[in-house]
Amino acid sequence: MSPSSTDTIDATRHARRRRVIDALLLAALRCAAGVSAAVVLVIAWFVAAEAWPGLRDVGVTRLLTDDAWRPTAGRYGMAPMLIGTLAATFGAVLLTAPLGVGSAVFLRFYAPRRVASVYRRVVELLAGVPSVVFGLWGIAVLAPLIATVSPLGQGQSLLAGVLILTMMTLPTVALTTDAAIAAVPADTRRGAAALGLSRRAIAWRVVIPAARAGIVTGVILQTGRALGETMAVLMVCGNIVQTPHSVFDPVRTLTANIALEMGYADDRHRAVLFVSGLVLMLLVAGLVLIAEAIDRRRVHVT
Amino acid sequence: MPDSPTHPAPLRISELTVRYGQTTAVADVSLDIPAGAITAIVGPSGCGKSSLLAALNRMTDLIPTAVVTGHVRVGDTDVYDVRTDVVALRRRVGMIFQRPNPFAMSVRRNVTLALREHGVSDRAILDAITERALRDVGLWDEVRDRLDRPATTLSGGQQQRLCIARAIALEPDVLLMDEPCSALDPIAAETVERHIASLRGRYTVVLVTHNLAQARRLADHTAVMWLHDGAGRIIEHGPTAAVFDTPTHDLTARYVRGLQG
Amino acid sequence: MSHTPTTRTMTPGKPGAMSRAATLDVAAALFAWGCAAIVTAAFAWLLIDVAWRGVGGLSWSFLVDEPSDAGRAGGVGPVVLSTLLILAVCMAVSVPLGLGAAALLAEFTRGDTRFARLVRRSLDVLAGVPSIVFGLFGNAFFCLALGMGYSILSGGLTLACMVLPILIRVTEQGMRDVPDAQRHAAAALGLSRTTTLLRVTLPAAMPALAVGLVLGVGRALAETAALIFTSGYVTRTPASLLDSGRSLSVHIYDLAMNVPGGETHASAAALLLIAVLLAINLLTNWITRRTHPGWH
Repeated sequence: MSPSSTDTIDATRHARRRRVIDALLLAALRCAAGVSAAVVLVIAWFVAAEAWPGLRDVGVTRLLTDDAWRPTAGRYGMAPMLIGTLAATFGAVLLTAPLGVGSAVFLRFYAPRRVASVYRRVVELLAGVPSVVFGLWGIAVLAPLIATVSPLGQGQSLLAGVLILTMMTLPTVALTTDAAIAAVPADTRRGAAALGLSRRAIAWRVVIPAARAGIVTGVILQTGRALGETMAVLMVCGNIVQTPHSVFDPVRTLTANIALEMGYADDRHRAVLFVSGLVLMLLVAGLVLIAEAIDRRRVHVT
Repeated sequence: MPDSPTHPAPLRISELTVRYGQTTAVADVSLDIPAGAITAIVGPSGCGKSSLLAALNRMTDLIPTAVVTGHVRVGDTDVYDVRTDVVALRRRVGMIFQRPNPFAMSVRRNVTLALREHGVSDRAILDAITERALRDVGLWDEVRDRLDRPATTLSGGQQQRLCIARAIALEPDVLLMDEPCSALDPIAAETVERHIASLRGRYTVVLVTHNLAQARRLADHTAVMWLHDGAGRIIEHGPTAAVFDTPTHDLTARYVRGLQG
Repeated sequence: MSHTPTTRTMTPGKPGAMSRAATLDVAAALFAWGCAAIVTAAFAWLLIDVAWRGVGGLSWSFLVDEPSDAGRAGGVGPVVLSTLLILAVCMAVSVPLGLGAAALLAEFTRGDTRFARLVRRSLDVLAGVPSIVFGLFGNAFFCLALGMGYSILSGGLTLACMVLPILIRVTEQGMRDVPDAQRHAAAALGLSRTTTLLRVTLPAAMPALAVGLVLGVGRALAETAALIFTSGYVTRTPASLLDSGRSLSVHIYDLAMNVPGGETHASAAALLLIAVLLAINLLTNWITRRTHPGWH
């Protein structure tokens, strides 16, 4: 009684069946991967197709230079909203980068073991809070607070948007920085310590520079996240279409605009909203590809 | 074994070369390995022993940059013939690795997984084969009560013997062993070595080792590999006693003397 | 014993330089602790605030009742049901696709084939696409082009596109983390690729698959912008997948923004959502920690 005493015909049949199963499996997996990759193309295609009438009939120049956003009256000036989006994103990145990197340095260099594990948990949880909850908190707490110091006497503003976006992007910047620091070889750190460098010098002069590429990649990806964030910004920014002159001015971002008007927009108006969606998508795709290029270079250098 | 189900097959290697990208690991090796004997391949580390061994059951297929030229015959089968079914080949040519690599599943499953894959489904037969394979490596008495515990809870030496049992459960014709004792502590290594010796006659065993004493204790035949012009070559081979006592090659003589001094 | 003065071979640097370095050290420490304090405080503030406002509204009847008076009164029963249905559609589509794609990338493509690179790059871009753009796409594709209208099906499929990248990335990484020795052992035993995948690699990568799944669920539950224009606003109990249904997150948004006096119920719903996400997070941690032993 032995498994190898099966005759050769049986073995051949067995081998053939096995090869067929392998081929079928591989085909199925290829399909799954193909469909997954195709999703992004289908999205790009559909958004672009819906945006096309807007680009054709209105044109980029008018979208940028029309003096007002009154889609029902044929005026499609989106520049203030583009500026609002960029201002909110830029402000958030300006705050989130130092705070996020500082958090990671705290985790890796200053926090006692216990504190570090608790703090890492806090940051992970913060990363999972839904944007609509940030928005809710922004309306209920942050905006009234800003209203007390604002010269305009109201809280829904660019500043509120910047602060909320900072809170939303900070955890991920902290976590990616933490991971980038962890990826720096322990020898580098030991070598620096052996030279008698202080904790501060090891962190900021040796380890952070060594982890630079990973940190920058994380910040860039979160910039994309801030650009595309909708709900929280929609809830706290005030949504008035204007070019902001101070951080207390209410603004409307491109994303908020889509969320506010998609419900009733039709024809050209709808197409123009898709144009703004297309712009957002291209901006973010660009950022992702830049981040990837940095990431790849890092792999090649080390 | 009264009803030995295996048919140890000879290996015939001719003009075998293994390249990884630009570098040549094994150059132009021709070697006949007799059936049913234990043949050791010895040599300093990095001389291409493991690459040579991996080429014998086409594990080199798993390395994207590896290119193999030349011929290997296992019995009547041409290993590198395009018509050769590599999966069936590997079933006939078992392999033991340097580090024990049991699957993260129960002891029993480790032995039966491949058997089931090859069409054995009768529980009684599976149990019988499992017991016989585990007895052959002296593991049965140690694990009979915990066949359903994870294999990763075994000690290193036990894991390695389980890996040997797993391979011989398939009743292969040839067993390739890549430094099977070098990751184990001395006592576990001794046990594994003893059980390898007991496989003599039932399987054609090719044993790669840098432990000359082990080769001398275990092997019927010994081949010495040396790094020559950046690539591994066989510089001498023959019966173990001859290679160790009356080496013909200068390098072999010095290498073997290093053993004593 | 008389006091013997010790001679130092190394003289300390200029006193000014030393104190400057020391000042910087203190400043750096303050900065690091300060960052941590700010982040922790903000987080605590947010959580405690939402919990404090919402906890009064939470009750069994809140979970099961129909909303009334535009959500100011009543509960979130139908909303919870819609949320679960959207989630079910999303996972039913994305899990098999994601698993397949991850298995292909991790097991069947040697490093860097062109196809693998294309798939990876596409997924990276997909992961960055803003959720409102998913909403636009879902509206144009599922609702209009495929004629599904504002429905749970449209919303779930839109979310499926959205969670695919994270699902694939985590799963692929989990499979890659399975030691190569396992694959070599399988190959040396003459196991077919199918058997190796189904019996060796997948089981070994199970914890990572679970984490990926849980993260995907979390992402889908938190999503709002992609759902407003795909699954819609309707608060009725859905009768089929082709009915419109409001997700919990959309409900929170609507109550907070469009319904004066809806804050209490918005906070209660937010608390519910956070509690579920927290539970999911703990579950992920538990899975990862529990499955640490294994190799080595």
